Amino acid sequence: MKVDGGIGWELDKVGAEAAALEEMGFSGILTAETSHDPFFPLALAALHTQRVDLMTSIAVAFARTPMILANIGHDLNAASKGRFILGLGSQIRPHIAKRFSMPWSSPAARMREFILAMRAIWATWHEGKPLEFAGRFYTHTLMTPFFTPTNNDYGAPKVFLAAVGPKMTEVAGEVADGVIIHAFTTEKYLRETTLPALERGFARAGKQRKDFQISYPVFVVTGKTEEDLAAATVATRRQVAFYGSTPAYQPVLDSIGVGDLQRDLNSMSKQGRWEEMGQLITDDILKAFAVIGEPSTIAGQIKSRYGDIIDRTSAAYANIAREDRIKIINELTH
Amino acid sequence: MKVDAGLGPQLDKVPAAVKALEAMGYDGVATSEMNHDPFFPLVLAAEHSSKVDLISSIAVGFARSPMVLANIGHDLNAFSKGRVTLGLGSQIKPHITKRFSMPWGAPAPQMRELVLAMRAIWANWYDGAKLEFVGKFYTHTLMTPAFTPENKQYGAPKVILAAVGPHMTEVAGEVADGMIIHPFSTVPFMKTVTLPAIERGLAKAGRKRANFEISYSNFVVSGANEDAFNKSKQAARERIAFYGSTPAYRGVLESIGVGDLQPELNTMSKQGRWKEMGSLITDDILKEFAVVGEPAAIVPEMKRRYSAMIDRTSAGFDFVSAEERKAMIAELRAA
Repeated sequence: MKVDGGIGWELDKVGAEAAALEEMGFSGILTAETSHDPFFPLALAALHTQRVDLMTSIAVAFARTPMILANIGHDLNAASKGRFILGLGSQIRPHIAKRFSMPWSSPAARMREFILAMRAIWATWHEGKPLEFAGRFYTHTLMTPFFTPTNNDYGAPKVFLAAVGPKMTEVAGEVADGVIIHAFTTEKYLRETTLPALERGFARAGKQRKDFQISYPVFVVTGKTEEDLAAATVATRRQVAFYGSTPAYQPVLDSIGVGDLQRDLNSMSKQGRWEEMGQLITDDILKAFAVIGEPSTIAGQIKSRYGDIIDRTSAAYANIAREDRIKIINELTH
Repeated sequence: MKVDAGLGPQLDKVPAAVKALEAMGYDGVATSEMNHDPFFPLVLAAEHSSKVDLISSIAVGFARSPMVLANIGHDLNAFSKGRVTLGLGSQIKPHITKRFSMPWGAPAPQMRELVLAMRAIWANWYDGAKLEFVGKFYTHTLMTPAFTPENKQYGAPKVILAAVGPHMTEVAGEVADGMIIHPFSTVPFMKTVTLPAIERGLAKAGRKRANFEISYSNFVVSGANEDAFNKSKQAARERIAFYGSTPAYRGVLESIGVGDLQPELNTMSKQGRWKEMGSLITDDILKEFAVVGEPAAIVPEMKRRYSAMIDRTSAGFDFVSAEERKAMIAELRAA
């Protein structure tokens, strides 16, 4: 499987960071969108690397129009000679409406249309089809040669979609080239909810699984020493507890029979009891979410648990030695 | 005056291009937004230059959320250590609604609000002011520490607006740090319409002209030989005729007493008679829009006509050698 590593937002450092990750053997480089533009680091990385995929994981789709993202996707794919993957996510209503001042409704249906709108725009630019996209949420009916990119050698980027629930997952299967699965997932949820939803999407579009990528950033608990491993265990328990407090993620807890935990975690989070919340994540629960062990065991564990399901994973493995990280990446990618 | 150069959209060519322009003595490099993202070239230009201002001239304001633009402006300004000018324009209704699928309200009030919304976001990020922007066109009331940029040393970029009509020009004077006057403009139009509108805007906000930057790029008709000169002249006439066919720009033609030309050009444009349209632009009309002459005459005439009114211009001077171009830029920049 492919292994991706994240780069930061500091634009004066990302070029060197990206080159270093490529040198270590990573398959792709990821950016996130929190307090910075998610595309600028990849524009720089495009000219500082030759081989790695460049991927947003994720950019907030509904904060932008399909036309703007179509143009960004085109430009980054051309600059990277076909290495760009436009990873999109919906965010949640308050952020779209009150932070970005953009419209929000029926997220799965809107996202489906968003991606189809971009594909219509790319078909106009790259294949000369007339632009006549009149949807429920987006309208794109005007395009002239003046506004059409001319450097069409590499065409459209791949589009990946982040999804948790079955509706968005099905949309990913239908209209995207890949899905980005939330780290807060269990093997059981993947097999029983995610994969069937993707299959429904593939069937709607007459697509095959082999033409689609599943990306899943597995939680990894590891360390150079017993102490490091213990510290990583505590940190991951807290992170799992934090995600587990989100009402929308209850089905993931249900998948391993601990759905009741969601309400407890939610009320504790409102009281700021973050440390205690971590303690509710027992060893058994932690094992369902994370691969745990010495560095030399990690790649094997990921492969045996997820090797038949996922096409790419992402991991920084920052708390272990560089040579151990390289070994894990090598073992996973070969 | 300051002198800017255009920067092309091909990202792999930007590093060498911006270095060459900086070495040539330009004050700034400017991108436009047509068939490519206008900001990516500025990211690479920031990496490969150290002095020049980095300007979007222009990016389509209404195609984006103020929050996305605020973030873009912040990131570019931080990376370039304070060298960014976010130049915005409204575009026209069909492009906003049918190309970008975004809402079009009343352009001047909407643009005013867009700039104020960005300023409210920046005030929240840099000064900790509460984000409570509830406008007619934009609402921004949610911001948390996770979405607040950490690198605040260089703060917000400058914001300038492209404007033709008096309403948008007044908005620029009120809320922007400068404006870009459309190349389709004349000295009488600037004196009777543009400058008074800027003054009204500045007065509304209690600001001074000294703190406002006016950018204007006149047409230049020149050439190293007669053939090149004639080609340059023909291209300018056709371009002027093209702009002159736009109903919204009739006021500019009226400023030199040829307002009736507008409907005539408009009719011809609908019949696709572009070459003929250029022939309606007489030498007298051409001179109002363009500085016309031999290469050596261009810079002195630009300075004579415009230096009292404008703070910066952009000029390619592609009709002379690199050495002569460098000298012309230096001459234009000199007081």
